Amino acid sequence: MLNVFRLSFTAYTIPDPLSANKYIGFANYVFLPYDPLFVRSLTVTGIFVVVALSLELILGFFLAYLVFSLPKFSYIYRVIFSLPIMIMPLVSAYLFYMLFASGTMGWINAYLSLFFKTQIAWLSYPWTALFVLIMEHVYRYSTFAFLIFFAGFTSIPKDILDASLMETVSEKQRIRYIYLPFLKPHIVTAAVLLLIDLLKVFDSIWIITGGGPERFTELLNYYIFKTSFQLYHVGYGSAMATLIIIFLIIVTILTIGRKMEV
Amino acid sequence: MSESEKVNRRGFLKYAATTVGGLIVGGVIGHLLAPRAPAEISTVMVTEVKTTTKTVTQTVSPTPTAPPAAIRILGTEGPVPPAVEKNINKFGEVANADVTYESFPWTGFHEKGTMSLTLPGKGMYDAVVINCDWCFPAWHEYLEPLDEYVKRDNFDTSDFLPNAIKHFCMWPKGMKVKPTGLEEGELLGLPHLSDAMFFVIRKDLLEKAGCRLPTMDDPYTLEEFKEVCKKLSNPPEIYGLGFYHQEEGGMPDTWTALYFAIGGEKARWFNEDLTAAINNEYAKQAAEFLKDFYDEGITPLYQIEQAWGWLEENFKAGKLAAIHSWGLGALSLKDPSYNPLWDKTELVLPPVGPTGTPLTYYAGWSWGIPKNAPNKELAWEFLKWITAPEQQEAHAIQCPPTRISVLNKLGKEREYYNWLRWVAERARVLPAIPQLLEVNRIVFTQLTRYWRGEIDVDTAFETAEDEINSLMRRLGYIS
Repeated sequence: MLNVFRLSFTAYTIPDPLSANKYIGFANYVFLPYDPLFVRSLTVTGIFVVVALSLELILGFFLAYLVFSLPKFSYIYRVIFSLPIMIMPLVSAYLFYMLFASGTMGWINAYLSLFFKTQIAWLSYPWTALFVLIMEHVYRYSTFAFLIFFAGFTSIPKDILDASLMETVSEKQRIRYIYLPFLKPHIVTAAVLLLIDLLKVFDSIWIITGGGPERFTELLNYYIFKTSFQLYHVGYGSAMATLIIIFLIIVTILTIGRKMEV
Repeated sequence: MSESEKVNRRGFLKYAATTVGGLIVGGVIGHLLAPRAPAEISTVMVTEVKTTTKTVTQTVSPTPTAPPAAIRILGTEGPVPPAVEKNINKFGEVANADVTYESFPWTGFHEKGTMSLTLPGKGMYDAVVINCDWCFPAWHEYLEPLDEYVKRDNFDTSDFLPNAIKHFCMWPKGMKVKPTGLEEGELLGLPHLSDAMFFVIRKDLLEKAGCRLPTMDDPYTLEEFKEVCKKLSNPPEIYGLGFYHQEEGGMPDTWTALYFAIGGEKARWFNEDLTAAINNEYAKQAAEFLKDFYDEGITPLYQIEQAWGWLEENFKAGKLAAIHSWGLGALSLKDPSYNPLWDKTELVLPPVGPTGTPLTYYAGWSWGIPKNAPNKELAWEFLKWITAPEQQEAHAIQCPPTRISVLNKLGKEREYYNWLRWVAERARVLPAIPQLLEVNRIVFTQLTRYWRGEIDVDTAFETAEDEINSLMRRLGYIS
């Protein structure tokens, strides 16, 4: 990590070994806002993170609430809902590629062809390709949020729950005044951990879209990889990587590092 | 500030300081303790590692027999198919060496090789297989010059195809880019595999449509080729032509080949001053020609999302009547164990453009010795062995040769080898620039937008040229 930080101040490109010691100050950082691909990557990554994170938190909360409300067979539900997180990222990515591909390979298109005599080229258009990536991540990580929230639900003091049952408290009020306040630390923790993973996304892009179409799904981590290993501009890639690390440290300190009161 | 707020603030600052301090200390310790080895990329795995050990017969001697020398070789499945692997293992017996061959998956091989070659100190590999277009331009600074070895051993390189030597293995000292791809310079490898793009076609459908097969004396013209593909097309059951149009890691192969075919020597990627030169009539004509294939339903638009392998898979499944594919992959479609339609499949010569240039380009792979190789002498012996006529002939069916004598000999039995020699002498090659993949992706992105009808052809190439120049400026090739 220290070496990445050091290289971010150099003009290091792999075809020119001597450039690893050619210091250029903050030039790599200054260039970032003028790089249209970086700006687009940052924007699309922002959209990806906001949409995926929201869906994962909402779905995770809903699943945890459902399982908590149905104590009978809750163990079975917990196992079933935990399965997606256990799948290897590559396997999950390939699964979604097989679902949404066109031509002979796509399962969804196979059924669309059979029943509706049509196909949708999900991965051939930028926004639909991004949608598939979001769905893949939500499929795997909403269960991660579920596990955190379920732990939160089970940690709510029983006397408070019993009191709310004795009072004429509606379910909506219970969610708003009891569950959500108690789950606040869990929501923040889940959000930060999911944010870290969302910014690290690579495998699914590699398998499903390859960064396309039109480079639209080259999210930040992928763009850094491409910059460093195909553009060979390691210095510039290091600058982007350093910024992400700093951002995540700040977010972690500001959220999990703070004392949170229920 | 209240007492509790002071406590919270102190706690927060303590936490922040601990986090940052811990990161710094951890980073320093990690940096000092970390072994000098590349980080593994989680998306790729070594599929297999093969080791051949020679059993040494102990003779009676007062001193122990020296252990066999060891050589470690890095390859990938395309240029190192099973027949070549067999020869690699045989080298162990011949040279009394421990041979470890690592076959790294195709996707990720480039990154693996880059990290291995750039390791400081002693490297991991003694010999590496190198792609002429997307590896060699980036790796040339990290490869051992071989001119002295050739001179010392009186090694004859005249039997190799001249363009294979120039494009796959030579780099002029001090030059960052080879604009035509054929500039001569230091010898940095020996040519291993020749390849060019050919067409694979369903000959049963061709006969049914009343179309002829092209020959070397009478190849298709571009218009005739389009008509043939149109006649074979019956969408959505079967499309007339498929070609690689993937943005990821891809070369816009078919468009590039068409650009060369239409423009001939005038079809350049870069000017002398390394500014982009693709915003011209030939590039646009090539783009328009292929747009007709999409618009008329001869080619499916969804092919832009497809990864490597989809062409062959769809051809075998009867979804494509013809494909534009590298010879290496195309040859396998004549194998009964691989393609159920093998007897209805024919490899055909590419059509020829108005300049006489065929719709293809020439490329291939070489073997090189990293500068950080632990055993360069043994690696040099390996290079001479694996590229020798006997070995090239033995693995020719899976790995098209680069030696003229071998091509001439095999051409008597199979026309394909004559075609390959014909193409190698006439076809263009790509410019050699380390960031070729990035340049290709810039072009590809604009071509995709044009083929989808989002922009017109003039905008596509103006934008592509601007972006390439911006890239060249950023990389310091132009001011």
